[in-house]
Amino acid sequence: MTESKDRSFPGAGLSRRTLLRAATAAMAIPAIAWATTAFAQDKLSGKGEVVVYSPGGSLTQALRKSVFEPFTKATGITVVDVTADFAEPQVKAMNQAGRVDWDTAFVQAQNYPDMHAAGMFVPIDYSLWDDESLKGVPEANRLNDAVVMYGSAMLLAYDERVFGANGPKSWADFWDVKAYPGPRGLYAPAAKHNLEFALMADGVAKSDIWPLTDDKIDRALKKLDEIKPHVTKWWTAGGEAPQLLLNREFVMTNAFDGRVIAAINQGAKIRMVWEGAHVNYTYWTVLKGGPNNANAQKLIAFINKATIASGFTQASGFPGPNRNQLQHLPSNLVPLLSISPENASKVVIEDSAWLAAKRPDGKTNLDHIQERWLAWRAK
Amino acid sequence: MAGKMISLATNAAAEASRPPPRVRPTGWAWLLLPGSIFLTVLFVMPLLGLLLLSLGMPDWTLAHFLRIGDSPAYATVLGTTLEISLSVTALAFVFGYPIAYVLTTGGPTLRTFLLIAVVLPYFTSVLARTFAWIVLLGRGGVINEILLQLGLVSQPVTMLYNRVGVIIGMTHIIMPLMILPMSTVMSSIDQRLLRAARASGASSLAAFLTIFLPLSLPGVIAGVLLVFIYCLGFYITPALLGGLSDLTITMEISAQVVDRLNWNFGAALSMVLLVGVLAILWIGSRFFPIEQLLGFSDGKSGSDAAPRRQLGTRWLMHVGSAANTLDRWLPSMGGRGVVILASFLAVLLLLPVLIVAYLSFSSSPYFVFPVPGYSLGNYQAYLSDTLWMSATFASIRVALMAAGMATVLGAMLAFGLSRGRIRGRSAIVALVLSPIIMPTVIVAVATYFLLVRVGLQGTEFGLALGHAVHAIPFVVVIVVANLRDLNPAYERAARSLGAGPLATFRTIIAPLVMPAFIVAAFFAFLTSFDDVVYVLFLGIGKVTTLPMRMWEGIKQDISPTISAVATLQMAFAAIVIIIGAVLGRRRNT
Repeated sequence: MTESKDRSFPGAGLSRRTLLRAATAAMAIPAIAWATTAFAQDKLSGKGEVVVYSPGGSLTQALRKSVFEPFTKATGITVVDVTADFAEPQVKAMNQAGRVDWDTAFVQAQNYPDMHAAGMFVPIDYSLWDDESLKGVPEANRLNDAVVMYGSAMLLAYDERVFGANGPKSWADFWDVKAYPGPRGLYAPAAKHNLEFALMADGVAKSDIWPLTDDKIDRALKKLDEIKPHVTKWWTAGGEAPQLLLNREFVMTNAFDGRVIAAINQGAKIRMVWEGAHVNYTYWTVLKGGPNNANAQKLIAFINKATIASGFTQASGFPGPNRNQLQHLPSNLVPLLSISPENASKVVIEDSAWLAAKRPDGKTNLDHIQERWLAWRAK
Repeated sequence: MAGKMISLATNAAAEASRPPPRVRPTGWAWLLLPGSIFLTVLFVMPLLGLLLLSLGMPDWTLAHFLRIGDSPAYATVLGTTLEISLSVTALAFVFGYPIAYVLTTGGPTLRTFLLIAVVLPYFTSVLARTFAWIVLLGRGGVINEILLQLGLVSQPVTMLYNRVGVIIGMTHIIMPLMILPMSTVMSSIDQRLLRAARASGASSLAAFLTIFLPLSLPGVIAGVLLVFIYCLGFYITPALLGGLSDLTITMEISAQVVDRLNWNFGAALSMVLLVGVLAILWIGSRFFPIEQLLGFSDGKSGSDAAPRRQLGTRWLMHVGSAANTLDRWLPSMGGRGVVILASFLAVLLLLPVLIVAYLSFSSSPYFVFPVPGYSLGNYQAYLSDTLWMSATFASIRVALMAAGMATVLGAMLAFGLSRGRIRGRSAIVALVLSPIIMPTVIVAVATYFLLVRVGLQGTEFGLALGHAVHAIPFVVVIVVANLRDLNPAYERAARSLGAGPLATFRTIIAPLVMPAFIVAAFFAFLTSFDDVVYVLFLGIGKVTTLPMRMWEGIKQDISPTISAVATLQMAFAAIVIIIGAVLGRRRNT
């Protein structure tokens, strides 16, 4: 919490600091909710409702508990949450039909440029944000009409029961079946992660990976030919990777960070390797033509407060972009997160703009690499 | 089925050359009207929009179709899809026929057991079921353990994450779709015909091959047709149980629509699939007279059918005498061999189901086998969660509405098709089948744009309308297959004795076709209850159904709560079947 916020509630300063310290120490979600309720800002209070998309499952549960409920308490705005597997196709359909039933939706970075160009979003109202939030969220994460909700990482995860602490440390090790024997898993549907990992295993520097030009695709697919016989399962659903590690169907795999953190929190013996992890962003957007746009702006300002963000990170394993939340998070969780400074220096951030860019033949670069991937898979 | 297009086209040509048209529509043809209007509004119109989309509307182009040809990968994937569908259909027929036979001829207890074994796999959640397969077929699975112990193999056999895994996994759940249409037709076969054949000196094998098998063909065709088409739409099971190259075209279409928002290209791929499948069915009908077997042959092509029938009779005579000779050399199995085989297959079908039920009592937060301890935690998690509960009730409401609409409209279409004697019937059949040939994801997008115009998006009724379109094909095929042997003379007798049309329907037709209605309604219910795609678009996040909640659990979590949900569903289905059996027995005695 920042000075400016303190000033807006002159009488409450002392008790708030005490409370915040208590909340930081306890790290319990109710405490945070209570603290934020106590210090609700006038700027965010309102009435009515806001229709908020989320993808369901544990992510939605985390949002309800650590964001929506405190938000309603603090602002008086009811959250109507709608859940669906994906948001983008519905957003596109609602926009084309001219009847937008939602206020906010998550949009993946690779889909953002097209939808942005089609005018589906309204600008984010940063005037509602605290100074603390504006300082904590890097400028690169704050676009005109979208703000990062979380960075999702695809990283190397291995079975601690097999390798102990001395497992693979990089993608080169993942390809080294002599030093680290055992069946492997990789993610089947998308090309980008696998191409990246293969290039790193082949010695390409992280900074040289993007853009994924044809010569690099050829090189990566050749490298993937090497590992193909050692991959028992090319998995599809996020929950599969940790589940199959636990079942000893493979000894190492790539996996989504949030899924691995959830498994580790439940006691699974899995280790994460951040070296060469792929990170791409998912954005919050406010949908043009939505029924309660003003309330949606308030919700987005609310979730980017460090205390709220840290509550959500703990509940979901998906860290929002506010770096100030690190001081509120338990010390054993920080090393598992993509936003911890140490991990952040090891990851590769996808060039989403390049993926969405059109090629001379009318396809996007993403279409192109997926088509190459499909051909490689099918052969 | 589309083959009727050709046979009808030639018919039409032949009729045109003959001055008086011999075939006139009967009063039954009116029954085609409601269903046709329903499908035209809710399927054809959105589909036309889709066709325009694949042609790049408003910037007309063939680029999306040309792009399919540019990369050989799409043809390969389409080929893989057909291979998988054909393999599963063949396997399901081979396993399904004996089960359907015993399901029809066996005692009440055996029948109830078989019905449960066939139907329950459908209710296991796809992830829980996948894990059950890992327990059975995985590297360290039960079957590999047994093979290693017996010294039959020295290395674990790879049975999962390849084509074998896909085929086993898919066959397991489509069994009801193969077996129930067959058994409803088989149950209408007059067993006295078989006794007459035996009395005339035919061996049991010969009696089966020359009497029972030919008479059961309408059911076989219905089952094979439905299973084949249904398999084309699989994409979750192949992804979970298959290998890298076990790609289905539906996976690719779904990725184009949902992940990459390339609706034009997704629509173009869907059109290629639709045309390809109709072409295959048309070619297939040149070899198998599908339209006759499904009961569409009412005197429309006497000149063509007569020699074919004679040819068929001669074939049957050969088969019969060959079987008689063979039977002398074979040790007699009596009737028991088939019963043992069917029961064995049923136990195989139940194995993964039992593993799912066992896992649901696990105290572990993951799927672990064997379970570390027993607990009701998964059941508590389900029953105490209002979200799970409201999703369950929403699913039931939507499925009941969809099944009601589909059964009424589908049954009317079935009567109209098999008795209406109208021209252009093949077009209606193609229309009726198309909703299950088209990938649901593309139909769902198209339907959304229709519903949003009347404000039905995000309502349970709107979702049920979408589901009903998808369920009608099942109802029509199953009911038509059973109408073939319904003798119109009974109805004429009733009418001549003074019964009105309604009374005739209630007292004559309904009791005779009731088993088919029940099976058809059951599938209509299931297609709705199982859907995770329509709800995505038509529900716009406001309607949350049970399979959607279960799918969320699979995508994001590794929580075995879904095994408890699946087990409760299975218990419910089993109880319904048992109650049905008990009531049925009481009525008969």
